Amino acid sequence: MNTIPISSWEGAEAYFTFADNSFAILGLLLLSVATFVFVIAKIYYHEKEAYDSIVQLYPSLEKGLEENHVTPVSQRVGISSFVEPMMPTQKANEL
Amino acid sequence: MEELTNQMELFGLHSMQAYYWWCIALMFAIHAGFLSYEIGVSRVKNVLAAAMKNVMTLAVIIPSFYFFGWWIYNAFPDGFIPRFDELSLAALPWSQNMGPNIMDNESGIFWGAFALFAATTGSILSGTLIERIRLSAFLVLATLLGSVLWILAGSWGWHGEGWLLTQLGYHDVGAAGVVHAVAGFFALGVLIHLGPRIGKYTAEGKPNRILPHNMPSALLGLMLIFVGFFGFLGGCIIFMTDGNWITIYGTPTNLSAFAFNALMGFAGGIMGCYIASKADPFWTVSGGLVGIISVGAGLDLYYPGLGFLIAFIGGLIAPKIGEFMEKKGLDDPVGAIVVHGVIGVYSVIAVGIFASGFPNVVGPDITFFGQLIGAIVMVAIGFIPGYVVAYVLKKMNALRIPEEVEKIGIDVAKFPGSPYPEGIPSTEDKVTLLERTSKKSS
Repeated sequence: MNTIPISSWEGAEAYFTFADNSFAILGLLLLSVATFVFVIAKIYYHEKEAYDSIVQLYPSLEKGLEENHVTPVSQRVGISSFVEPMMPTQKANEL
Repeated sequence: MEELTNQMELFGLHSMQAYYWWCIALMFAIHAGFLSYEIGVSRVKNVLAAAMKNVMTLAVIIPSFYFFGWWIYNAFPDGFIPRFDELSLAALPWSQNMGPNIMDNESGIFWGAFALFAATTGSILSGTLIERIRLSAFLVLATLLGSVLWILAGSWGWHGEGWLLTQLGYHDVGAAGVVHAVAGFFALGVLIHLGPRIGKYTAEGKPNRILPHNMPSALLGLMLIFVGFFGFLGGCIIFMTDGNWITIYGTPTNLSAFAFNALMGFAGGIMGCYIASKADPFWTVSGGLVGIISVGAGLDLYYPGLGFLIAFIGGLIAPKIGEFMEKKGLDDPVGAIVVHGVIGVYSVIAVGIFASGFPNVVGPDITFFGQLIGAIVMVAIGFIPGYVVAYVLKKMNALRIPEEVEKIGIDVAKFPGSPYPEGIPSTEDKVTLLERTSKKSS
């Protein structure tokens, strides 16, 4: 595959790979745009999967925390369910 | 003699490239700053989400700005009808100028600087939406803002032939309107549909305080943003190789002018915010940003004492508007809508009040009317698309994370990692530790 548009630096201008091949440039550009769109779509589906799984697990997580005498998630404003509270977040709600 | 002239010309070109190269590098500090700032303001359950959002902002805006952003800037100075002249065609992503080219010293470096301006708009948006927006929705919105909207506004009002300049004499040298106001009001449009964080308001609608989990990180972030701003403002001036440097509107200026007012504005904003917020650390440090943006539009024109006072007034009003918005149910954890949106508009209008009559090289003199219309255009070009697109995303149930995830935290739900796996315990130095252990053993 010949990617190089110049054979000498004498009089060279645009010298990037495929500079003399507009079809290749267009193809690479379309591929870049497609990759861009693919990544955003992938992020969307990854998020959906991750969030759906948490939504499904949520009732049992709440129950488990309650049984272990940890303040249930629904009663906390501030912090993650998987660490002990470090500030009185319930009080913050009552203020 | 001809040889010497050629050498000087070449030296000028190299200096110009080096200058913008380092402006780009400095502008990365803005993003480091926003990252640290948003991490600090987020609660501990959303730290990684805030960090990832900031990094991904850069990752989507840079390529999309290459795909179409740079072309928009060069093609739309007349309004909504694109130009197909040499400049606009050279900005298309398949042009010979949009890659390594021995004969073109400018395209890449200017594209790079503008791409970082674009990324700044995404970071401004990011802070307002922390802890409850879906990353995918945010990236779509950031791409729209960073690679379409602000740069369209830039083409109209931050371009040597933009219609706001040629028809109205619009002046916004430090991009207070085209970057800050556009981004701030876009964020407002999105926030209206996104809503506040769970727990932010009581059942009666009274705001709760949700404290930053790490205030030092937030404050350090703001300091980094200040550093980055010198790259941002440096990128707002045109480096001339054969004479006086000029503004983006072609009027003469220099870095001295920028230094006077950027620094005096910085100080004035901090003082104003300190007084108005009664020494609230969040607002006091944000005051530096308020001050620089307050004087941004007229950075090249003001007497520094006037710049200081304009920034001081900006500092006095910003916390009050922030408080008012919070009471009205707008949960903007970092105050971006006020600091960037409202103060961006204030900055543009301040030029109309204090600098009307200054001549332009292209277009009529600066007027209050021209600045007012310019400010309205900036608000509209930010707010309307933000509002509409966020509404569509909301209807598709693709805007906000599920309630359960918001309660548990995005980090646990989405990212394979923990920001503080060992917590942040207090630690002792060796002397204290030895003292304590020796007391115990005796």
